[in-house]
Amino acid sequence: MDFSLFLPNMVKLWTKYWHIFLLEGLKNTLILTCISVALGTVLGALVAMAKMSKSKIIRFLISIYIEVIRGTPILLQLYVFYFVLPNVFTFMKLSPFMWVSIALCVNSAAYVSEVIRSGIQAVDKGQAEAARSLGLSEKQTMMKIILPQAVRNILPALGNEFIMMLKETSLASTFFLGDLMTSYQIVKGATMLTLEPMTIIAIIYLCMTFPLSKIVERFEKKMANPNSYRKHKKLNKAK
Amino acid sequence: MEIIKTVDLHKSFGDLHVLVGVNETIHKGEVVSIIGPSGGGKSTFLRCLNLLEKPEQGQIFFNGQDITDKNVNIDIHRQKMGMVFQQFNVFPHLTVAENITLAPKLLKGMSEADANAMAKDLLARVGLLDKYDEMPNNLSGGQKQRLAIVRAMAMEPEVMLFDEPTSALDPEMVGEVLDVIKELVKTGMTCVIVTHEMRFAEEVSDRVLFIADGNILEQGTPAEVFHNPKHPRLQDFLKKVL
Amino acid sequence: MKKFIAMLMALTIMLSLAACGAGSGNGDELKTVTEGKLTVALSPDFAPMEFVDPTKEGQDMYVGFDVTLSKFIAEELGLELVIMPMSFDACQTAVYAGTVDMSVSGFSWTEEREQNYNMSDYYHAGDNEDEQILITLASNGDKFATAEGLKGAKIGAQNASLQQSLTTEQLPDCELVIFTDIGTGVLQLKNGDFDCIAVADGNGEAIIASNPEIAKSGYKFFVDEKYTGNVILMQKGNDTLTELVNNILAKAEQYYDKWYEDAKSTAGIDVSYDDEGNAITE
Repeated sequence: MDFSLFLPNMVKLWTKYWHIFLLEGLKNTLILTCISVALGTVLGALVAMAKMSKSKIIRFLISIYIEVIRGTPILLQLYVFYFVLPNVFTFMKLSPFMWVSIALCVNSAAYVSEVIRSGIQAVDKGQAEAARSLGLSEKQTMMKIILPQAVRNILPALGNEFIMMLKETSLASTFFLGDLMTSYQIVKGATMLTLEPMTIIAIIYLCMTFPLSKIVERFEKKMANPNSYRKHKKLNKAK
Repeated sequence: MEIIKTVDLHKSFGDLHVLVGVNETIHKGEVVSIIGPSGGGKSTFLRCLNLLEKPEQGQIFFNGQDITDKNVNIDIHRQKMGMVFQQFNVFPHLTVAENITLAPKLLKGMSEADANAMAKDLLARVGLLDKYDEMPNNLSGGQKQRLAIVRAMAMEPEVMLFDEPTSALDPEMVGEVLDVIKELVKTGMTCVIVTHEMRFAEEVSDRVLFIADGNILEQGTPAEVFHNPKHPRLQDFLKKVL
Repeated sequence: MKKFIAMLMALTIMLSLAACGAGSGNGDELKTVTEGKLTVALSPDFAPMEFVDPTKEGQDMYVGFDVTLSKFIAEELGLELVIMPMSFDACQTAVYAGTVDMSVSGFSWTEEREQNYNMSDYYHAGDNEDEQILITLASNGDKFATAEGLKGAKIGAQNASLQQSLTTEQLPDCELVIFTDIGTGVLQLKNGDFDCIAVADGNGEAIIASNPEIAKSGYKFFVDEKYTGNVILMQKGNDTLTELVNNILAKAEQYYDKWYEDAKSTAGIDVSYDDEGNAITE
């Protein structure tokens, strides 16, 4: 393979199409990621609560949901949300962008709910017993004792989920939703060059994921250190 | 006056029948130690008393009220039954003082100032006043357990349940925790103590229960149980531990 | 991939049969997915038939022969054109599921499609589909110009494409390798994974324009008449729309050559530039 044109082509593509990559692609990728992780976290928290519910039926339904989402490719889920659901819920007039966002949220929620659930379950059982033995109700125990500790397990995992989602949103390009991967396809379609735009978006993806994963890593280490509770206290008081 | 009474208590974990119809009454002001081999059901019995374990069958009366009744709000009764765990279970995300003040503030509506004053008082009694603002992770095991004891006492319970309070401690720290319990006993607090510290049990107890095979096989004063054991299982057990 | 699509379709049928099939009205009145609008799916990565002009925004981004044709059809129907871009595979699912009114995306006639879709009469995008060729690395010279020279060669073709069928039928001694995306196919060719790839002539020219190391191999497929045109895909049973579209295609025929030349020159704008990155063609 001849690489002599590679760098000059990259420079040309960047000069001509940088706005497609950054102002369109990067922007939409970030929007999609933020929407899906933010709403996915809220929804995931609800799902996690439902998964720990006392009702067997609710637990059963929720585990079906989680198994279906985790057991099928995300691309297939996007197809269902893009093609099937708009036909079923005809009263919902949503844009394709919205449908794909919803699909990503629903996907993210399944993963986040497991992150939250395992974060909660990783808190020593003795903590709940101690709280309950003092007379705290189930809810008080959850809010005052379990969640504040579980957050330390959950937050770094949420960071990883964000990084995952950042990459998963590339599947939105199946429907040309303007994310980074779409900008690659646009430029590829217009120039018939493949490797060069591919390299450009790879660099952009890495520019986001690499620092993010470093931050998450540091955060994880900090959270793993039990002495870090002190600092959290101060933060809380500052509020 | 009886404070806790169990009637025909049964509890299983899967196929394992851990408690087989335990009948026992604990009176106000009494100090009862529970000894016995591991897996004999002594911890389970203790944990049934405040319903951390739910018995499948039988009743538990606390101050005359059947707390196994589904309509009873167990949280109210637990406020009056302090519990101390083998693994301390102090709250690592709260300061030493907050560990103590959390429940009184939340459940009794105690003011911040009153709660803090009480925490200082309690910490002083167990020699931890200088740790007031520390995080529990900076405490030693013995200090953590002393904190756990005063945390339970902050709710001004009518009875204290101790679940092997010194088993997870380094030997040099056992003494400081036992001393705190002894102090507590002197105040007239009703105590139920699951323990492996035979000498301690002999010293503080009014009554000793020997639990093995899911039931109380023998009970009596420390003198009777330790120096004149009748049940062969108890004789065998004492031979091994003493 | 075919199994994947079949599965999706089964799922789609189950879920959407009960729901209202918006575009499938068989009455005299034309109903579209969105009232007053003609929704068209296409896969804009296939210059000069349909591709994106990155200098434009929104719906104007989509250009090429099929886009011009879609605009013409929408105008004739008195509807506003809405283009929904998606991958080639997804285009078919979109028609099947009734997400769009039609797909105008350089489809060739095949028997399988005939069974599952309503198809329009043929339309001819210049000589785009008339000539089906092989392209190869320029350094190969005329090594792959004849069926003889192609014996044992690896030929790449896009999944579910006309080129795939042609290669299977006419070059049985070659090894057929499938790719899903033409850009990836070109990359694999440059990488040496294939000896040649099978493309429509116009598409091949667009590829060669920006990849000087690629050239036509000199081999041309024999293209049966039924393959020379493209068809528009519509939902099975939507005869009202199909009839209207066929009438419009009859009117549009006179413009085909002009549209195709326009599309090729638009595609050309973006395939060569000077050292400052500016387009040379204009």
